[in-house]
Amino acid sequence: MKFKAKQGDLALGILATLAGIVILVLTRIQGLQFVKSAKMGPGFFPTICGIAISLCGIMVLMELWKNTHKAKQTSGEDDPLEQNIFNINELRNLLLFVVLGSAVLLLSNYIGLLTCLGLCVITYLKVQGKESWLKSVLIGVCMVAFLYLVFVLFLHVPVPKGPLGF
Amino acid sequence: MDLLHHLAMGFSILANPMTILYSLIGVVCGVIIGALPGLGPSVGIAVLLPMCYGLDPICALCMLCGIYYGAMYGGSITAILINTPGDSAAIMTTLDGYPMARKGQAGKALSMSCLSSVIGGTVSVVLFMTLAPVVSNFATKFGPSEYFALMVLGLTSIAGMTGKSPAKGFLAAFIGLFVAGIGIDLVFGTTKFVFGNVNLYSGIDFVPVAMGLFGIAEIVCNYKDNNLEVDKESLKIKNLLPSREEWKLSLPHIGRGTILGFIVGMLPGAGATIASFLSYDMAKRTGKRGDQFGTGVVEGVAAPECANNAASMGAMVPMLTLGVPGSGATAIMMGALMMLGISPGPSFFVKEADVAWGLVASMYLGNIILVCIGLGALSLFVRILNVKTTTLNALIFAFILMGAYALENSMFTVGITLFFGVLGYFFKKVNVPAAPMVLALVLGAITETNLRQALIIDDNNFFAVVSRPISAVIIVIAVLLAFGTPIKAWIARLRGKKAGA
Amino acid sequence: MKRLFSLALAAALTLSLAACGGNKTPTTSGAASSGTSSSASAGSSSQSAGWVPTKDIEFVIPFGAGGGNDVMVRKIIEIIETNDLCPVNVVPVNKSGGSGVVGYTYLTSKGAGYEYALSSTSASFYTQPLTGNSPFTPDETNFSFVAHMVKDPVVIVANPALGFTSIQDIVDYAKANPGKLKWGGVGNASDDAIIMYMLNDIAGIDLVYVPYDDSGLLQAAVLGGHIDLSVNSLAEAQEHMEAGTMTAIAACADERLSGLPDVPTTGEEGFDISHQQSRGIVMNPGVDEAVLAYYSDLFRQVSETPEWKEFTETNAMSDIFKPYDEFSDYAKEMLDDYSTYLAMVPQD
Repeated sequence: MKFKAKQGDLALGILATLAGIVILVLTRIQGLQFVKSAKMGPGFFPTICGIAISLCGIMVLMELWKNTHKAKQTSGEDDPLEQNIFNINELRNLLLFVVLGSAVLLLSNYIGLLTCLGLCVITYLKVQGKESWLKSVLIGVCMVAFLYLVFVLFLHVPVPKGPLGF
Repeated sequence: MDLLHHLAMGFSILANPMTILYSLIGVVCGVIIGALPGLGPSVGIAVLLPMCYGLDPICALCMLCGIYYGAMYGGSITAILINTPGDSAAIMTTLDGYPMARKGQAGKALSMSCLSSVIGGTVSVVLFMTLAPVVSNFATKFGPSEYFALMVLGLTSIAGMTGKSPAKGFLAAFIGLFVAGIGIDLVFGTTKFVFGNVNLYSGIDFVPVAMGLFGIAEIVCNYKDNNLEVDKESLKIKNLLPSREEWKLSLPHIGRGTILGFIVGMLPGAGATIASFLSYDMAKRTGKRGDQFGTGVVEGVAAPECANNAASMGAMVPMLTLGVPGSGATAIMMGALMMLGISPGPSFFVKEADVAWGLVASMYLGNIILVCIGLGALSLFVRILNVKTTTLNALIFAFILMGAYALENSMFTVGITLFFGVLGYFFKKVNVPAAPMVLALVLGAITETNLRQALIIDDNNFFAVVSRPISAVIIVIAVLLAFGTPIKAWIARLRGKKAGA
Repeated sequence: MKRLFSLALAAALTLSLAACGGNKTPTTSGAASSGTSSSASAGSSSQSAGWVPTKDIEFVIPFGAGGGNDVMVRKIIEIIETNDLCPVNVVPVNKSGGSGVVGYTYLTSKGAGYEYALSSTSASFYTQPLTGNSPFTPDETNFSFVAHMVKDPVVIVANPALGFTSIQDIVDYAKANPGKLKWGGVGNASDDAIIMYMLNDIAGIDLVYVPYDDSGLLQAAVLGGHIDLSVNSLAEAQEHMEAGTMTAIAACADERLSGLPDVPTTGEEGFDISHQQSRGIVMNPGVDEAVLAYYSDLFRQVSETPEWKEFTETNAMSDIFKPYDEFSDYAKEMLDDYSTYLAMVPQD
């Protein structure tokens, strides 16, 4: 995915403006009034935030316009707006973390949180780190042991347990 | 001198090797717990409290104080090494601490953090000893209007952290403010933006947000080519400690930060977070290398660190002199003290003099032990960075998720961390700064609560709220800070024009 | 080799920590007890009489650390520990927010019939559902009643600068200066608020309520003169009353509190607002009777210890222990009472 910084800024500006409006709409829908029985109502702050977020979104767009205008005059090679902002390695990381994270969320209650985390570590090491099976599993097991010792035994945190008892 | 006599009495109590042992246990446990993402002094104290049953009160106190200090330092360790603040007070430490680690100066950052924490802690113990009875009333002068003003001051200092693009900085701050408003309304009890999800009733705690925005977003960006190599050279003692030059630059900030931290820490509820970023902001504006803050300068670590330790000491003032806890951790500590049969309050220093001064002496002890451990384990911590990037990523990821769960024993918190992790990554890419968002989240809830209380007290007269003496002074300072630089620039331009014309 | 050494050192350190932390290692660690743990966590109701806990119990405190409820629960836990009344650890878990709703939400998230979590209750247990701010109505569909522990009287306090010495002073001032006196309390429909609204109703005045989330901040505000009136439990404010930084006006109790013998009761002053907060313990709904009986008995033992007697004595709490079967009926009575009280609170 090749995204230039200026496209990123554009997207940010538009999304922010929209987000602010969405917040305002949601505030209305929930019936959160601006002022209620002569006091500051529950809708006061959200409304202000919504308006402010939209304004910031517009300001981002304005800054973008100003910068592109300036850049047109200098047209340097190092224009920060023309840089690609996404890096394929980072995106792989991101995808992996999202998938693994979702797995943790979904599976923890069935196979135990610590087991899930251990599997996360092993999977990441295999896929991204391209480590050998032995090393991955070893590190995974050590991590689970460490987490177990510190969080479960020491801090008595009640973790979701799986069929293996942890 | 009465003071020295009391202190001597306190130290004599501490001469017992058992107290030193318990203090040591406290500090070690505190550092470890503080380093665990998300967990802070309150957890540490709560967990080790059962160990205090049946212990001699002085030993128990030494351990509790040790935990308190240790945890404050522990939070900075992860802030510096993996950009994940262990608690709210460590957020500011990430701003310069982590860049320093990336530059291979992790040792310096860690040691400066430790040393300035200890300096801040020790000086504030002295302040505590000399001033506690005198300033006990200070905390009570702050009612909702004054707190609101203080929050406004805090929020304006966010403006200084916007980096190159104010619009994006403010966007981050307002998103933070919005997220702070999710939950149950204080005055009317209605639910706001909860949409029936019971997990959101108490709002979104900033810790999982910070762990996602700072921690996860960071590890996403770490890949093989960015390996941080820590070579043998940088592990030598002289490279692990700040140089004389750096000390010269940092000391004034440490001095100011300590005093500021102590004063702010005395206000119940305000605490270490606000102290740390007011100190950072002040250092940034007044320091010689102020414009380099954020790229990895050691003063940027010294300033917030001394302030947050001074603030933890300051928080003890209302706790011990008024019986009003100054922060979450002091609240639990107060509960612990009450269980030990000690009831803090206006007559605490008079009625239980030996316990009180023993407590003070144990704080000195805690600081000393902290230095020993902090510096001793320095190379160990730094070596953590030597681990291969991908391995480190995997481990940090598991670590953060576990910490997120342990916060509230809920998978929902894990979900929040992940969500903000993804959001944080995209924000990083478009240069939206994360610090203002988290800070606004922390301050936002308090701001709204206090403003609404203040308005009820002053019968909806907003002007009355801001014209109370203390509030007015603080708000004027806030306005000056917010608009100071542009006004100065404008005046300079005017002068320039006059001269030119 | 150096790396191996430091790794071993770290492992040794962690192990010693684990040993430190777990003074009563729960019996779920190790393969042998994995059978027990899985059957316990399955929450099955096929338990026979004589139930005994086999893993750590969570005691949820739906309020902030340091408050009255928190102090009471921690005292209970301490008594259990020192007298060895329970084979497993009882772990306090603060979950404050929404005047108790967050705590009850957490409790019920464990699922019906879950035997290892308890929660304390206070007034908000009854008031929040009545004001529509809590889905957890205080009856059998949402909770199992375990035991009722104490009734907790409060004392009306005032900022000494105002010079009030009796409730009549407050009433007179309020009539002369309508809307000026501010009364601070924790929560927006809690006992603190109810007492004020009762006074408003009986005396025909209009004190203004300022809600707080944090009793520590509220105390500071009263001490600083930002708030004129408040209510405090004896434990919370005894020091201040003795030191003269707060004036105790009257006690909302049936008899004078032994800790403050010079302070009249509200009844003596002629205002019938002696509403007292009640504190009890509940669990998830549908818990097996053997389990309820166990806990009820556990707390009965706590209430009979000399430490508990001393605690309630010092804090002027009325020790009214009721086992699980009686608590259920008692709760119904209180629900009715609260409906009446809340009718006095203006609903916007």
